[in-house]
Amino acid sequence: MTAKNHLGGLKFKAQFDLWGNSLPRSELDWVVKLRHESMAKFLQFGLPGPKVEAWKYTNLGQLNSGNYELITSADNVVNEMGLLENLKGSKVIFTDGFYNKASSTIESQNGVKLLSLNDYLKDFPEAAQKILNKNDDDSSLQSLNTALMTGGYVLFVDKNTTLTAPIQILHNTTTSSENKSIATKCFIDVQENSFAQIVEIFIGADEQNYWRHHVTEAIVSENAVLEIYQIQEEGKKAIHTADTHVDVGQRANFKHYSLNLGGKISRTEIKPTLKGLQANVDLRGAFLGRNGNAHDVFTHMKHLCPEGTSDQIYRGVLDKGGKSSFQGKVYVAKDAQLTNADQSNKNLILDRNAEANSKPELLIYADDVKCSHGATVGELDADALYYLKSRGLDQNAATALLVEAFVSEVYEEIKLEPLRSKYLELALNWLSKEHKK
Amino acid sequence: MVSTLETRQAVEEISSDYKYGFVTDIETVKAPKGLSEEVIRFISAKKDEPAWLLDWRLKSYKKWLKMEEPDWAMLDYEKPDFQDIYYYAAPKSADDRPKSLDEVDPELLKTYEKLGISLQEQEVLSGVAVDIVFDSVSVATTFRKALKEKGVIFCSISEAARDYPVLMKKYLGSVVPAADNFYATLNSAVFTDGTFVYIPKGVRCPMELSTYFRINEANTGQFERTLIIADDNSYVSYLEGCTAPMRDENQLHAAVVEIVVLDEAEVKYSTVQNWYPGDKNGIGGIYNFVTKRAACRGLNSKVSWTQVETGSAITWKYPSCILQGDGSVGEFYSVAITNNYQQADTGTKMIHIGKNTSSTIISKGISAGKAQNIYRGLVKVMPNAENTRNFTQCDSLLIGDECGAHTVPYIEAKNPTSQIEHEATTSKISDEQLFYCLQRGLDVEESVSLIVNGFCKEVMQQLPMEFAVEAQKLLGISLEGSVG
Repeated sequence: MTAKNHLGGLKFKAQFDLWGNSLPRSELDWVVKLRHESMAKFLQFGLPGPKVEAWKYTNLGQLNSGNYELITSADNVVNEMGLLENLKGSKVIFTDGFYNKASSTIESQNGVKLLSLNDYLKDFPEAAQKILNKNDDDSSLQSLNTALMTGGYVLFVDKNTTLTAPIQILHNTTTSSENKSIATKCFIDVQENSFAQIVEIFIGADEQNYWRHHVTEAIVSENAVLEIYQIQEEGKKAIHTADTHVDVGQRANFKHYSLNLGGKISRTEIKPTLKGLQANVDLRGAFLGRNGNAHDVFTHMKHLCPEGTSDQIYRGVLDKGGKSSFQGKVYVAKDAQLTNADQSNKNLILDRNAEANSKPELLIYADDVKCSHGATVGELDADALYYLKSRGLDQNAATALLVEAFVSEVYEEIKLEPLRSKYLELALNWLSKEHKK
Repeated sequence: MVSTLETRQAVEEISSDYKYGFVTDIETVKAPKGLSEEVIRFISAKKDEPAWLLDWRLKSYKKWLKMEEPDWAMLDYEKPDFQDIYYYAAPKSADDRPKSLDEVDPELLKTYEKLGISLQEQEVLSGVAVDIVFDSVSVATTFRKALKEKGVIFCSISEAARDYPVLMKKYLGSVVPAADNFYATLNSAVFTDGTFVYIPKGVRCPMELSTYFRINEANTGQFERTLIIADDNSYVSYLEGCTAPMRDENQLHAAVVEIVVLDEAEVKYSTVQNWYPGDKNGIGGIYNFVTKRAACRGLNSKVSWTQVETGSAITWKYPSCILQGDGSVGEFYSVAITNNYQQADTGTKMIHIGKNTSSTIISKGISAGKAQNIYRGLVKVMPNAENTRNFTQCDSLLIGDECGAHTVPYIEAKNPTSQIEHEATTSKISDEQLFYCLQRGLDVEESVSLIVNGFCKEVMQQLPMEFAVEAQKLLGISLEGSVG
């Protein structure tokens, strides 16, 4: 990475100079030091510009030109906007990037430690320093996130522990989020032979213009399973960037589901590193865009060990004014023999004024591997439409049915029932909205 | 391919020398090393060029000075020192051009014989007109008469600048503009020779046109420029083939090929590229930075690129099609083989602008030794390109566990009626296939060659007869030293 082609970031620096000392845990010297170091690291490069290959299709110019302010505190009033009611288990709510204790419920379970990041920084400073000072940021945005983080959570699952219910993490906003940059960070550590499911929902109001930047760092140890389910329904004007970095150990299993619906710009980065023998990663997602939504999904699958398997399925539907890009990179290191990596990205364009970009990428350094990718862009199959219409469905109903089938492929294997139906319900709502136009 | 030590050793023994590595000793006239306005004026004067072309060169040079060498390709090489290159070298006898083959320097003829392209033989037997570029100046042109009868212009680009200024002014730089990219701009400033082809309306070129390139003088950059214009309802098949002698220093080759295709016309451009790839340890070899682009300007026009890339230490090459005319068709068939320390970043761009345009991309990459082979391609559909169709298939084959095969396709669609499909796979030669061949009595080398030829069949079938045989042999030769 070079500073060339990066946009500045001095406005964030100015905000940091003004308000940095009001950010949470400023009473802890090491946190302040870490924030400053991270800010310096961010400034080496600044925000990635459109000439940076990974950001070819998404322009963060608005972050650079807009005067986003830091948010330093939030009122602790109940706000459950967006909460999934029919899901059992702990509920952790972040409002405007701050842990909303009044709305959250944390159920205790033996071997499971779930707490707010700011509490963790205070109560377990040594362990927290160890995690935060890893110094392995792979992007300037990640460094900026550390410098500006307002809240987040930490989840530890001990060996041989199965979470009794999925943990629901909800990120919502209030009117105070107007023109704010909201940075949240979380750490997940699932130890050997354990099982954890996390449902993460991002939701915001259409009226507010904010930048939500969320970073997840996860470790899935030997034989463990981690499943993350994300739903992104940010407000129309919002910029949403979510990075997930995950280390997957021997015979461990990582699954990531996502559905992107909102935001003016939404960028979902998922970077799994398969560090153990026979690790397995499945990434599934859909992005539905119209009326100024620009969805960008960026995956970087790193196969470092032999016999790993990975599979990616992404579906995009672009209606009037929607834009999308999928960039999926599969890297197979020299030693990662017998890797099996698949990837598929299909895009449907429903309107003249829509755009889909796809850049599936294979970087293969081992010879005894099976890697494939497929990408398509097109409109609905005319024959299929005709068939449905000849059976008495009108154009809209026929279209909706075909699009539903197209999207549902992504979610059909989900076993966590409320989520599977939620995903399909959201997709259907999106489709039916389309036909009201 | 998981290989045994024995097969590796067996194969390494066979593969020591580059078969076409020899140097012909002919005196040449050189411009001083390095690049400056004076050198460009010298080249232009040597070529007896009209003033407008010199202006064009100088403008390009000024633009080039402000440009930066691109670094987005996945290539790792020492950047050339542009002041340490000869930009002009012509065989000494160029001032006094031979009237017939008998007058051609016998040593030169011998070189061609070693390469198996004896002019006499070709003139008499094969019916292929050969415009030989030997260190930048066309030395002999055959069959010009037969072509003239049909109205086909097939000459060196310097001649065209003098004799056909109207066509040259209209089309030179119209597909690859002077300031297109770093290497194309350099070429625009210093191109020394190349081929000009014009096929008039309604003419089907009676023979396949062919140019053999040779880089011969040490430290000479080869800056060829090719311009092909196919007027309405015409057809031409053009062959480009390269072999180069053994060299220790890296040589720069920055060619530009421009093709203009008008209504209902078709151009088929086939390349066998076998520049010196460097030795087994990655020393020496040609830097091949080529800009090739075709503009399908007419209705239902068609361009077909076929390339077999086996040579060069570094290849940076993306033969592209701009499908402007409604109903135009672009095709790209490619086999790229890299062995030892070779690196190839190659692919195509299909830009769909007109309605009902279609494109096909078939790319086969084979990587062996410590080589890196990258397919990089773009399929772009503009908003008004109705009913666009694209099919892309990229297959990579890895031989040995120290090489890399990469695929970097870009798909950008802005029209809902487009249909774009992309598939890519990466695999190795299966043990079963190899075992089957060995069991039938083939040795490892032959087996690999057979399997690889099968892998590339879809592309090889596109090659004209003249090339097909040579290309098949080349696949085998190129993979020598890889693993069985």
